[in-house]
Amino acid sequence: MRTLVIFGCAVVSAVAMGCASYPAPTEHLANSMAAIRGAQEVGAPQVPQAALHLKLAEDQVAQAKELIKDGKNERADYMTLRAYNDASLALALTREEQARNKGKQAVEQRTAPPRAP
Amino acid sequence: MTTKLRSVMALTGLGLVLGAASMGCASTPPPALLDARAAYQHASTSSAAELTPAQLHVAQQSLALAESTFEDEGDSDKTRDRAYVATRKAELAEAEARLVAIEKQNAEADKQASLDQQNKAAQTRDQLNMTKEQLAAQSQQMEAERAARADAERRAKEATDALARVAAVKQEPRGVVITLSGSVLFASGKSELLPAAQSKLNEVATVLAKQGDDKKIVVEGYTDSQGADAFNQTLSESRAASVRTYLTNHGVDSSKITSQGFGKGSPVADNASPEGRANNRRVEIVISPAAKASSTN
Repeated sequence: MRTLVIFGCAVVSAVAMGCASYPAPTEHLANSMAAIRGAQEVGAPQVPQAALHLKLAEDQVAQAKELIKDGKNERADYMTLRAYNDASLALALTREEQARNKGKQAVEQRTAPPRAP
Repeated sequence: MTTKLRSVMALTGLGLVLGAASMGCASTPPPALLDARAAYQHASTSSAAELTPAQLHVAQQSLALAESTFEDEGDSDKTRDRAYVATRKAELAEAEARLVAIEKQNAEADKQASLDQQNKAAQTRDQLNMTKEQLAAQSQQMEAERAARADAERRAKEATDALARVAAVKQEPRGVVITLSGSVLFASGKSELLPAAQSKLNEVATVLAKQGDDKKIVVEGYTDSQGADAFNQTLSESRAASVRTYLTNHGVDSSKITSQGFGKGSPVADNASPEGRANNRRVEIVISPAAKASSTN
């Protein structure tokens, strides 16, 4: 019985140490925030579909920060990954929309009748 | 001993329960993982397979990681987070494939527009060159016509000058008038040309033959006032006709030349004196511009 108790304590302390040893995901958090800034700079807030993913990313970064404060580093790390991928998708959707608009404008310019001097 | 056995059984039961729970989770994947599978399925059958295979591969690996996490841990936070990330990766692969396709399309449209513009420019250039050539040809033709006109005028002047050497030549409103003395051409009362007249008329014929098509020639016969009017009229007519015949036989176009007799009409000098009468006996050759000739060109 004593052996069992010692074993149990060892397991509990190991798990506790494991949680404590997961480092704060500062680098991943920085990457996510950089990806969000990138998406904002290319104009994601102006593209509805991209704006949605940008908002998700921003919320997830905020959540990650809270989790880090609470010492839940591993969960925070996954939250930063979610944020990073949402921000990347927002950026791609923005560039897609911009390329589509550029093509449309070029077609309109080519088909528009020449302006009178 | 009994207590020990109970403890072992309890642990085993716990293991079984946990195992069963784990198996239960494995059989019903969380919605996040279902979404990830669907997203990857969608992406793998889209243009991403062709246009962004690297990104699609990343999405596949991400899904595989989510699946293995689910196998290991069941419906855990990590499983859901990894499934979420896998979904985004698949969506990203598709979005980037669409971007590549649009950019390709834009580039092709730009290329085509540039080609169209080049073709249009070439067409304009060709038209311009053609117009230039036409203008040059027109200008050349005008220059040739001007030269031809100058040449014709020069030849006419040369002819007139040559004529002035053998007969009296005057410029009158009705045209250029060549006056040949009747005593040089005919014996008194006759209408046959004298041999001496022929050399003079040869010169006149040469000059008249050189006149342009736009000229008409009238041979007019005149007498003095002596003798019957009817005789003088007939004589003047037949003398004019004689000169005309001689000229047409010596190269003057018969369609351009006519003859007419005026008897004693239109005297140029006083019929009272012998000199005056001699001057009135004459043949005049009138060269005038043909009224209709220019319109037939």
